[in-house]
Order: sequence, then C-alpha cells, then structure tokens
Amino acid sequence: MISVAEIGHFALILAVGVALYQFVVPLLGAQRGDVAAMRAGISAAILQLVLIAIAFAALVHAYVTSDFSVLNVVENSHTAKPLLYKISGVWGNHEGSMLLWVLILALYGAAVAVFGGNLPLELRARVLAIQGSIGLAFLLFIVMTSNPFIRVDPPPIEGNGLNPILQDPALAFHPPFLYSGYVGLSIAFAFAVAALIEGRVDAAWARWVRPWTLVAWMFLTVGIAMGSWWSYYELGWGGYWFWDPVENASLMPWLVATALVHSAIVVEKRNALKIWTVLLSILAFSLSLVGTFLVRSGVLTSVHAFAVDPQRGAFILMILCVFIGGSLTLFAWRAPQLKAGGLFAPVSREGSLVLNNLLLCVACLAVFVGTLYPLALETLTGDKISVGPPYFDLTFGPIVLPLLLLVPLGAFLAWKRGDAGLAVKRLVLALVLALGVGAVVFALDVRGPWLAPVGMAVAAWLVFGAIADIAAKTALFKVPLATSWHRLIGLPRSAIGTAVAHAGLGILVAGIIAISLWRVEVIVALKPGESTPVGKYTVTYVGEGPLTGPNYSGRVGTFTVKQGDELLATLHSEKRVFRPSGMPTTEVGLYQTWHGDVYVVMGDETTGGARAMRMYYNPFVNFIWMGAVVMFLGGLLSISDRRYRVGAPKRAAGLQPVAAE
Amino acid sequence: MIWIVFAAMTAAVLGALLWPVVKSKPAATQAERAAYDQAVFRDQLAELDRDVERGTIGQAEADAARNEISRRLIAATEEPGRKPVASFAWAAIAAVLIVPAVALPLYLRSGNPQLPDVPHAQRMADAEKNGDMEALIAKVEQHLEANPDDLQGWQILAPAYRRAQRWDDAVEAYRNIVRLAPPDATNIADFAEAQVMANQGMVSAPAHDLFRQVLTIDPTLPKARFYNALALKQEGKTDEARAAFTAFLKDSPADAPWRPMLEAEMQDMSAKPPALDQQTMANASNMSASDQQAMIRSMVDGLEQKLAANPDNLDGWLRLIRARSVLGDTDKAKAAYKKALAQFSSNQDALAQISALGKDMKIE
Repeated sequence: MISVAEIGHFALILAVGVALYQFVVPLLGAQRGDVAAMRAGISAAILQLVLIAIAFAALVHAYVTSDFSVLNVVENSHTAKPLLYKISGVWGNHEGSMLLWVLILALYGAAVAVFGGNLPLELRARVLAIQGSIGLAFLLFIVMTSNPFIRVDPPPIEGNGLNPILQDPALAFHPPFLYSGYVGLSIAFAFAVAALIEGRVDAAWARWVRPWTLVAWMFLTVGIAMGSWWSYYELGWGGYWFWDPVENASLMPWLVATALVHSAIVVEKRNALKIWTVLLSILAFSLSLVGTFLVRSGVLTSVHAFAVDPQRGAFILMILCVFIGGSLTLFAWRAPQLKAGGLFAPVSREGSLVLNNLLLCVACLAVFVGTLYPLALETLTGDKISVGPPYFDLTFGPIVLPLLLLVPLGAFLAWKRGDAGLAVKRLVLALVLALGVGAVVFALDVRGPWLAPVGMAVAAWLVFGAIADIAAKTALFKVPLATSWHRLIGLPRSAIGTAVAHAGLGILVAGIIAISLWRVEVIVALKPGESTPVGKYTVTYVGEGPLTGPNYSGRVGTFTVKQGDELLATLHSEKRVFRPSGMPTTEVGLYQTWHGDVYVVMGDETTGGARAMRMYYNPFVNFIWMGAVVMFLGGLLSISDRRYRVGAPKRAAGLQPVAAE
Repeated sequence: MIWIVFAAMTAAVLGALLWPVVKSKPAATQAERAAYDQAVFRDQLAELDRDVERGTIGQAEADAARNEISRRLIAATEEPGRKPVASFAWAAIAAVLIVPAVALPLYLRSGNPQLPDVPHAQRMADAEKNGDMEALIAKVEQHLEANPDDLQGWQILAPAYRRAQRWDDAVEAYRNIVRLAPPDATNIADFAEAQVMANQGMVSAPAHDLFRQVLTIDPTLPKARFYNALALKQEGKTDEARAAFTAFLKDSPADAPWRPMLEAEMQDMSAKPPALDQQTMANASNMSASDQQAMIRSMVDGLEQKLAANPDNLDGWLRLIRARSVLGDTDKAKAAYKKALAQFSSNQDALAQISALGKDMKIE
C-alpha cells in the first residue's frame, strides 16, 4: 500500500530543496546577468506550488478519510465532524495553518512566475529568489518544529476533535482570506528587496508593485471583515471588534498596506516617493510576520492563539530577525542609492497622499504600541495590564478622523500642484449634504453625544465625496445624461474603483458610529413566556428544548421578535456541548434587517426556572461588513484596469535603433 | 515500493528544474531592460491621450505630464543595455543536486515510509479480518448508539472494556446488561465489580448494596462474597469482615484461584503493616523465581495504579520507570517514561531527573 500521507510528507520536504534552489540560483543568475539561471526561478516557483499543493492535498485527504495514523488528524479531527469542518480543520490548527500559509506563499510566487512576463527578467528573478527565501524559512519551520505529517503507530480509533468554537462556516473560510492578505504582502516585500539589491526602481517596478499589493489588501480587507463578522455572531458578546491583540495583528498590516496602495500610485504616476514606498513594503510584510508571530508563538493568550510552544516561538523570532532586520539593514545601506523622483507642491494629489500615508502610519503606530506595550511590560516587569478600547478610542480615533475628512478632498487635487480652494468648491454639494445628514442626526438624537452628528456627517462626507468624484469625472448634469454614461463607461476602472472603495469606507464608518452610539443592550432573567423590550421590538422567551447535532448536544431556546402586535421572526439561540471535548459554545439568535440586528443570547439557568438572557439591538451593524465588501469590490475594479493588462515588450532589436553605448 | 514513488517524484522535480535551464533561449532573444520601462511609458502616454480625449484632465496638466513622461522615455532609451554573459548552466545543473541533498536527510529524519494510511472507514471495514480489537469495540459502540437495547452488543463490549481496563465504560456496559437481561446474580456482581475497579478498588456504598443484593439471590457466588467482605473491611467493620473472609475461605476448595487473595486480605487485617511486609518477604523467599517475579510485577502494577489515581508523585514515577526497566518490561518502561514526562512537562527540575533516569535505563 502506498501511503498518501507519506507522499505528501515527501512532497513537502522536496519543496524545501526546491525553495533553496529558487533562492540561490536566480539570485546569482541575476547578479551575473545569466539568462538561463534567471529563468530557473520561474520553473522553481511553479514547481514549489505543485509540491506544496500535493502536500496540502495529502493532508486534506488524511482529514477527510479520518486517517488517525496522522498525529495532526488525531489531535484536531473526529469522525463525527461534518465534512466541511473536517476540511477546515486542516487549517484550524497550528501545523495545518502554517501549511496553508506556505501554500498561499507558493501560489503568489507561481503567479509572479506566470504573470510576471511584463517584468524585466532580472527583476523577476530577484523577486522570485526573495519569495524562495521566505518559502525556505517557513518550510524549514514547518518541517523542523510543526510537521503535520508526524505519524502514530498504532493509530487510535478516534480523534480529539476540533475546537468547537472554530466549527463555524465563517471561520472555515476566514483564515484562507486572511492569509492571502498577509502572505500577499510578501510580494511587495520581495519587490522592495529586489529594488534595493538592484539599486534602482524601474517604471515597470513602480507599475507592477501596486496591483500585487492591491490583491493582498483586498484579501486582507475581506479576511478582517470575516473575522469580525465571526466574532460578532459566534462569540456571543455582541461586539464586532474587541481590540484583541490578534485582531490588531491583522489591522496593523492592513493600515500599512492601505498606505502602500496609495503611495504606489505616486511612484507610478510621478516617479516620486520611491524610497518611502520601498520602506512601506518592508514594513507591511514585517507587520504581517509580526502578526504571525503574535498568533503562533503563544506569547498571547487568546482564543486564536492555538499554538503554545516556546521552541516554535524561538524559531519564528529568528525568522523575524533575519527578514525584518535583514531587509531594514539592506534598506539603510542601499536606499540612498535610489534616485529621488519628481517634485511636487505641498498642496497637490501627491501631498494629500503623503498626508494619508503619515496618518495611516501613525494610526498603525498607535495600534502597535497598544498591542505590544502590555506584552513588553509583562515580559520586563511581570505586571499584567490590559489596554482596552478606551486607549484605542483616544488614540486611533483622533488620528483617523482627519484622514477621513481628507479622503474626498485628496481625490479632487491635481497632480504636482493642486488648488485646495477649487477642490472644496467642487465638493460644495457633497459638503452641504454631509452637514445636512449631521444636522438631521442632531435633530433626531437629542440625547446623543456630539460624536453622533459629527460621525454620521463624516460618513456621509465620504460617500457623497466619492459620488461627487465620479460626477465630476463624468461631468454629470453638465452634459446630457447619455454622454455622462459614455464617459462613465470610458473611465479608467481604477478611477471608479477608487471612488467605490472610498464610498465603502464611508458605509463602514456609518456602521461603526451607529453601533457604538445607539446600541441597545438588555440583560435580563426570563422565564418561559416572559417578554422584554429591546429597542422598538419586544422579544418573548417562548421556551427551550433539547438539541442534538452531529457532534454536539445541548439546549435550544426559542424566542419571538414582535414589533407592536406583528410577529417578525422566531429566533433560536443554542447552548451546545461538543463531543468529545465537553466544551460549551453558544449560538446567537439573529434577526437581521437592513437597519440593524436583534441579537439574542441564551445564558445560564438562574434560580426559579429562569434563564439569564443577553439581548441587543445593533443598529446598522451590517453596514460595517457591507462597507468592507464594497471596499473589496473597489479594489477588484481597480485591479481590472486596462493599464495592468499591458504585456511584455517584444524583442525588437531589428526594428528599433539600439541606444548609443 | 513507496521509495519507487519517491524516486519518481524526485526525478520529475529535477527534470522540471533542469528543463528550462538546458532549453533556455539564447540571451539575445531577451528584451532589454529598458524596453520594459519604455513599454510602461508608452502606455502612460496613451492613457494620457485617452484622458485628454475624455476631458478628465486639464490641457495644461496634460501637457506637463506628457513632457515629464517623454523625458523619462528618452532617459530610458539612452540607458545602455547589458552585455549577455556566458551561461553558467552547468552551475544550475549542479545546484539541482541541492534538492535531493536537502530532501533525503530531512525525510529520513521525520518520515515513516513503512507506515500505511489507515483511513477510518477502511479500518472499520477490515476490523474482523485484522482482529483489530479497538476497531471492533468501536463498531459495536456505533451499533449500540443506534440500538441501545441490544443486549448482545453490551455483552460483547463489557468484557472488552474490562480487558482494556476502561472501567468507566465497563460500568455503563454492565449497567445496560443488568437493565436488559433477566435478573442474574453474576451480571449484577460484574456490574458492581466494575464500579469498584472504576473507583480505584474502593467498594462504594451503592456497590456494596449491589453485592448484598447478589448474595440474597445466590449466597455462594464467590465474587460477591469476596467484595462483600472487602467492603466490610473498608468500612472498618473488622470483625464482620474477618468472619466473612473466614467463612468464605472455609467454603473455598483448596485449589480455588482466589485463596491467596483471601489470605492476603486477612493477613492485611490482622498484621501491622511492617509485619505484613516481613511476612510477604518470607513468603517470597520460599517462592520459585517465576512466582517471585510475578509477585514483584503485581506490586509494580499496584504502584502504576496508584500513580494513575494520583499522578503528582515524582518519586513514584521514578521508582516505576526503574522497576519496569529492571524487570525487562522495556515497552512498559517507555510508556511510563513518556507519561512521566507528560505529567511533569511544566517542571524543569522533574523533567531533568526523569530524562536522566531514562538515559541510565536506555529507554529514552
């Protein structure tokens, strides 16, 4: 019998060798100008993907067939688990998630190899070599400390099961998206390091670093949104963001990647900010590595930190030192050789993008300090402090507010030298509408604090500003509608994408402001048949019954949601106890409307046959995730821009005069 | 067999790596670096024209941008191309050897080429063929989950659990047998005995009640008589216990296998603990070598049970590992060693002692 698991194991180990080859040969080839050796990186990157895909498929096979001769399957799976969670269990644990990490890394590497025809061969060779070095480090990490193909002989008859809290559809697909974001930033990093090695930033470099970053940014956006959505309805705490270190670990690279997506435009259009963009690329990937470190090394105690192992932590720390320390050293040494580019006035598109970058980086710094300071303090003094939402509200909020105000304005400034007065004039209508929204909110919400009208006005400003941007570009109402329509279709997709993404940001801000100001929270003990008002709704606890699932049992409570006398929905909130761990989880009962959710959590039994219930009305909460999706779509539009589809130049020595040497 | 697959995989990898190096087009067919920049600049100029056409950019702004891009285009055109160098394909060919040189030692370190896959369904299907006790138990368990009233299933499971020393499961199995079978003294006694074993040898009050119930049905059942006496002893009713043991001993045939057990219990009650040790030692000196071994083993088993009940006992674990090693039970010694390491995984001091012993005993 040929063992699939061992074939996967061997493929994984072959990938280590291929990664070493991919690192060394193209790098030397590019240094010498040897075409054959430079090309070697292309096949190595594709091969790398094939081998890791085989390894990953073998692990999935072991999970799907419940092969308990594989230790990883024993520790994280169970025969009674539904197929979906058998598959998602592959990355619901440390070893498997690292394998997914390198699989996505290899996917990006292969994508550069296949679609990188428009890059100069030397640049492509160096980018692939750097990718290879990252792959090598992480593959060695997996094989030496976190091998998912360790076998058990004799195999047990049953596995331990997956952490029940992870048995959820959103979480099943959250890590692949998040990792696609994290790992995608490795491409920008590889581009940056390649530019530093070459000592030059080509026009081709400037053009192609942006789409790769944009892909990573899009996945990161969706990944974070999914994680937030999951914690909203699965953890049962009623919140969407907890400033949990693991959440922050994904927010920090997102902030820097957002800055990078913007600064890369300046590099492309104006050949300026090159050094800064190279530095941002290094920082963005460094932060995703730090994110990996925070989650994997077990430094943090959190629901996400499912790997607790100091040896692994030491290995990851070494990886961090080599990649972050190495690239920053290289930056310090080589960056002065990069030629500075075009000049621009402070008030210009470039200027506004610089301000955007600064604010995003300061916001990231605030999150960084808030996340790492408690850790550092605990390591040094043993004191445990908790930096919670108040810190982030006081630091992150004020930094982001001017940034949000700036967004529509920046889009109206011209390159090189802009006219702020003109920009404001063209935005007057949007400004008036936004202030109007603020005034309406102020009028409706007498008891609300000042933040409500201001916050909502800012959200409206973002949305109307984006609309004004498109209206100006299509000369809406200045020319016949049909002409505007033609103009809209003719617009570069990236211009539409920008406006869509900015509008998405506005939608997201509206959701956040609404839920933080107008949420209704009710904590009450109810007996069957009793009711309680939740906002404008009346929730009645009908009763409860037993519950049996494929790998859990428990109690299910039934609730009705009424407005006046009209029955709107019947909700079920569950308390599940999973086999074989005996771990309890709760399932939230959700009644979703476009303007908010009724959120019901059945709590523990109290005296006298009543149960503690937590209920929320979360107004406009779904705007948060809708906004993220709109931002993703904006990125998708931008990436489909025709300028990214320009192919490779043909060898044209005979047709074109060769430059004088 | 699997090595043939590995060899084929390695060969395929080497082939795929070498093919483009060997077959690489000559350097002259490669576009020069400047050409890539020029392509981007030309596209930017075209885009600018489109913007002007659509009127999304002012004329002055467009002219400035066009000038700037054109300047860059000219600069790129002036850049000297790089001279092609002799290919060092041979070096790439040599470098390909990295792959097997890295892979083989790594795989030998952590791979298990001899182990087959064991998919759960397959294992269950082949359980009878392979005499796979664990799988057979699981099969019956599965069957009983759907048909909890199948007496025969429980009758298969109960002794299997006993053999596997899964006492809690055994209690449940016997509970079901007692529930489903016609009233029977042996069944009830087995049920109660499983409870005693699950309770680390202590006869709980409900278990004692069950044994009393058995004795009303069948006063001669040895198991019930023994545990009833033992329960009395544990409850501190020494006189009653001694009377029960004596009566039982009197009724037991000379070759009854439980006689030594009874005698030991009675000695345990009458003698002071040190005296018992002396007595035991005296008995031991009269025993044959194999009997001695058996006795020592039973003592070591007792130690292991104690540790299972109360594992936070470093000295106990060290004694157990040493005893198992000295007795030549290497497998059990290794198992104890692993359990001890797991038990004290957070105690560096203990870990050091355990692994030092492991080295001494060569079981590491």
